[in-house]
Parts: sequence; C-alpha cells; structure tokens
Amino acid sequence: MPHIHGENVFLRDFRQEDISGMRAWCNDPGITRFLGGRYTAPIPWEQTESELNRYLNGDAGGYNLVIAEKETGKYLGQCALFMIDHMTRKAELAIVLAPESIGKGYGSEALKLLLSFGFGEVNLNRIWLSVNCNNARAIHVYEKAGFTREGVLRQDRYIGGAYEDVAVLSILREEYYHV
Amino acid sequence: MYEGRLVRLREMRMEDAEKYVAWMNNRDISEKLAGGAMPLSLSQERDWISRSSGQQADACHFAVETLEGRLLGSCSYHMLDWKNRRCMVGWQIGDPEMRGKGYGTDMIETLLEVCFQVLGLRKVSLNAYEFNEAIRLYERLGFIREGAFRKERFVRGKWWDEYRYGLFKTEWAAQRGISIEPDEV
Repeated sequence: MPHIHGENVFLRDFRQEDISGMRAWCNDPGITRFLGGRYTAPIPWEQTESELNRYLNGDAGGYNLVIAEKETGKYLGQCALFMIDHMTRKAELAIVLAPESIGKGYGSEALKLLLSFGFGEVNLNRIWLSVNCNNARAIHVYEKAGFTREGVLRQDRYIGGAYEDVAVLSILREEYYHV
Repeated sequence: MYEGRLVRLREMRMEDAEKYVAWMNNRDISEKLAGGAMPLSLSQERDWISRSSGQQADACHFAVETLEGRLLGSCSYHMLDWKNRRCMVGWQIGDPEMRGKGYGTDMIETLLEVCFQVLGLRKVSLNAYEFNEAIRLYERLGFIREGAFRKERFVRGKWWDEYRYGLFKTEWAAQRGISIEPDEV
C-alpha cells in the first residue's frame, strides 16, 4: 500500500523496529484505561511481538497502519480500519497514540488521512467507532472530523472500580463528501 | 435458496457430482467454458465440490435446479472485487433437455438480482467466446460488449475471439423498471 501523506504525519506499513513504539503505550494506564479488554492485564513483550508479526505478515485482518512522523518516519502511534464488512461497506476505526505524541494534533491529522483512505480508496460507506463517554478529548477530535454521536451503550465497561458509558460514533460517506 | 420464476439457486451437493461430470465431459458444453474441453473424473469433480461449495472469499458457486428440484446446471459469481464493487459471472445449462425453455434466462436474472440487490455490486461482467450462441441472450438481457480479446481460444480447428460483456446496476435497473438508490459519489 502506498503511504498516505499529511502535513506533519504520514500513514505507513508496520516495520520490525516499531516494536519499541508499540511497547511505549501498551502498558501505560493513562492510555490503556480507555481501551479496556485485554489491556487490563499487562501485555508481555512476546504478545506485542506476535501482534507486530501479524501486521508484518498481512494476516491481522483489515488495514493496520503506523502513524509516523513526517520527517523521520518515527512511530508515533497506530490506527486501523477493522471488522470490515464489505457487503455493507462498513468498518470500525481505531486510533492510539504513544504518550509523548498526544496533544500535538497528530491524532486529528491521522484521523483525517484514515478517513480519506477509508472512503476514497477502500470505498466504504460507513466508518464507526466506540469511545468512552468520559474521554472528552477523543470525542472532540472525532466530532471535529465529522463524526456524529449516534448512541450510548450504558455502563458498558467496568474501569477503575466504576461502570462507564461508551458512545458509538459514525460518519457516513455522504456526510464525508458533502460536509 | 434464491428463487426466480423457474429456477432455484442452491448450494452444491456431493450427490450432484455425477451429473456435473457427465455435463462437463460433453464437448458442446465444456468448450464454451473457461477451462476448455478435457476429460474430468468423478473424483476430480467431488474434490472441486468439497473445495468450492458455499461462500468463498471472492466467489460463490450455485447448483441450479427447477423449482420442482430437478438439477439442470450451475452458475457462479467469482473474482468478487469489493473495493471496485464488481464481479464476473458464469453458468451452464448442462442438461440438454432443459435448453431453450427459458431456464437459462431465469437463472441469469436470478443471479443478477443476487449480484446487484444482495451483494450491492455496481457492475457485473462476463466473458464469452464468439462462437457461443448465448451471446444473443446476453445482449437481450442488456449486457454491452465492451471489447474483444483477439483470437484467444483454439476450438475445433479455429481461433476465436473472446468477448467481454459488462452490465451496470443502473442499466440493469432501468431496463427492468426497478427503482434503486442513486449511486453515490
């Protein structure tokens, strides 16, 4: 796949050396508290390695891309379009940034690039995601990019001793091209 | 599973193999198909059925029977290309007694309905050799000849062109008075 270039970041294929970037966030509670699931237990090195190998071998399913620094190609985070349902032409979207990459606009730009790839190249009709309702920073980024909050899964995750609501957001092809 | 006016498209079954082998070893049929004329054994055919029955990543092969359950042929969509929302289609009416009675037309119409209304594809294409009399039927059904691969196939001592036909969902719907959602950007 050709790289997808933005102003400050580009989306590229995974490389062997990305393992250190992936390790930089996968056990950081500031990041993983929003991810839940398997991230509630510490992730051993081998698990990150086998995940990276799935990306390298192209058998992880969906489109998995590294968010890289424009000048150096350095790993800043990663994003994906997954759970691809071709007949309905929809996919789920996910983005994660390493802690030192947060708050610099990289996420917004990566999101923009990933949407242009999803609608313009993969030819999707609907891209959706779920996000913790109290992750205001992320929700703001998604809404700025044109996502609509279409529902709330009440008390859908149990995090840090309390239930949290999870919002489902989506953007449709017609919105992406006409807004 | 999918029913037209005269035929049903259903899953392939192992017990269909004997009939398929008889049809595929009929030169009048096999020479019009992509594989070409060659002897096919029952074990090869059973192997093919076990590999190809049901939904595959980029294809689906159907057995075609009358609404009363008499097997008469097969059809498929293949080279399914989701990004470009198109596929190729192919078929045979293997049973000689069932030709010229409208089963083929109904089979194709039913398969097109699957391609356009179930899979939501935008374009369906097929290849046919220039000596295949079914070309007249394809044109009647609205397929447009988009080009010819020159002298692609050697059959019965002569070289023949292979034609490429295509049909867009918009054309299919307009010809049949079916209302569809406008194709998006």
